Amino acid sequence: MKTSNIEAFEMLKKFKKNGFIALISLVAEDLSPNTEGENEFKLTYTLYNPVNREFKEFETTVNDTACSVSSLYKSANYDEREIYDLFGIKFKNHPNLKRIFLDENFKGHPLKNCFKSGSQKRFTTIDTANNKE
Amino acid sequence: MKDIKQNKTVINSNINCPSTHGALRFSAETDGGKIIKFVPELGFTHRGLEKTAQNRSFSQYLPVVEKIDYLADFFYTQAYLSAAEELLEVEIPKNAQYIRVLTMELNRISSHLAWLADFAQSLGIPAPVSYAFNLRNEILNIFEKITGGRISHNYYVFGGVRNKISNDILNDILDFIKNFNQKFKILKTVMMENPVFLDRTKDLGIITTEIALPYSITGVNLRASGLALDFRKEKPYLVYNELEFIIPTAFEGDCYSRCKLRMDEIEISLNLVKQCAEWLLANQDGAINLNINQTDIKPKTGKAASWTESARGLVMCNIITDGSKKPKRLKWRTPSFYAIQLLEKIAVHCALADLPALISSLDIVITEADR
Repeated sequence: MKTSNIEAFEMLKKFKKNGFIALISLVAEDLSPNTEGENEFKLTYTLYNPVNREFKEFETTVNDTACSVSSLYKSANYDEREIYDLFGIKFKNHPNLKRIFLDENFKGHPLKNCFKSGSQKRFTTIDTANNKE
Repeated sequence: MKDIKQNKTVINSNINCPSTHGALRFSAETDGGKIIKFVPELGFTHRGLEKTAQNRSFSQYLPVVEKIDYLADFFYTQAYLSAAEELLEVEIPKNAQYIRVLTMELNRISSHLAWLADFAQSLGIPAPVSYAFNLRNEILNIFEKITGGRISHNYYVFGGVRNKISNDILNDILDFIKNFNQKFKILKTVMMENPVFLDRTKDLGIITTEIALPYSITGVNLRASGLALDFRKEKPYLVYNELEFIIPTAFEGDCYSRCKLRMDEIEISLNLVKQCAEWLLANQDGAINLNINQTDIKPKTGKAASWTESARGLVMCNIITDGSKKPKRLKWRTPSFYAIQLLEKIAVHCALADLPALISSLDIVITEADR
């Protein structure tokens, strides 16, 4: 099933009402070409219904921002932080949207197609501490 | 840091705190010995395994996969290979499937035993530690005989397994199973009948199904709350639908029931190993791999997802390919990642002294969560 992101939140809300109360996994994929510019990402949600023992896959395409589903599924909180960290997708209404794996000083998002490995400036933990002050 | 007026203390744990299994940093806000806010911090062992996959060919990435979880590496290799084999459109021979199940179930036992030792240690009960590690050592000896490695094996290959398990080793495994129960009984008695253990684990860190499912908790942590969700039965892979086994569940959802369930799982896995070893003894002639050229793996364009029930819960590997030798995108779903998030909820109202037991009872491996 494919929808745009505006409908995606409402659809997931409906699924949750129908008993799909667990979000098993959330996968992001970069669809845009290897250059800077317009970004396009695909998000795939895998849902589980424990009563009917049923799984459902749900896809949506987004640009730079998407609706956060962490109010519907608690597990999406970390999933979305991970996607923000590695892909740079900003989630609206997320309670705590900050990097989860990488340092706050890290520039860029490594799993984006336009990211170039080795282009990073080295930094130390002292830099991070100084910046916080 | 202490705020005298409000009597609140913030405790920051270092990343080499021995009570956490790996480099987990957390800050806990406490009020009179009770935790009122718990914030874990990830990323101290982040190795960029998903990014690494994009720069490696399929076979080059295979040894990297084992480093996700150093206690139970066979599950991750199986998850990765099963997704890749789906894209390659091959089905591995029956003998290879039985060998994979046999090694994975042995791995489940060894992982649970290592967890048991860790859990006992975090509760301050040193007696079971040596029993558990002795038993685990016997399994590692078997792994060494089969694969040549004790912790990292690199035994599974695209289209099967690397080498046969000889009759001698299979007989050794059957002997090990015969002697295991007696030793395991001692370990069980030392652990489960210890009054200190009972006092410290009963009614601690209760997880109900209503909490566990929205947090995407799987594996023993979920089954201890009463829902019998095991992906070996739910979405059978390899030869699990030909083997006889039950899924044990408990309803209390506390640390004690999680511990008891892992003990039960060890016995069930032992039975599965026995069934596989007996089948392999009777059918030694079959092929064990498809003789695929391991350096020239080039799956077609498409995507595949695999579901594997590891020692800690559901492991998923999503691979998206574009017809080249390297995956375009590879995504791991690791169960510890979600268990750490759950800690934010269940650690609240827990006494600070119980925190090591609570963290340990969820069987978290940080390298697995950090990837």
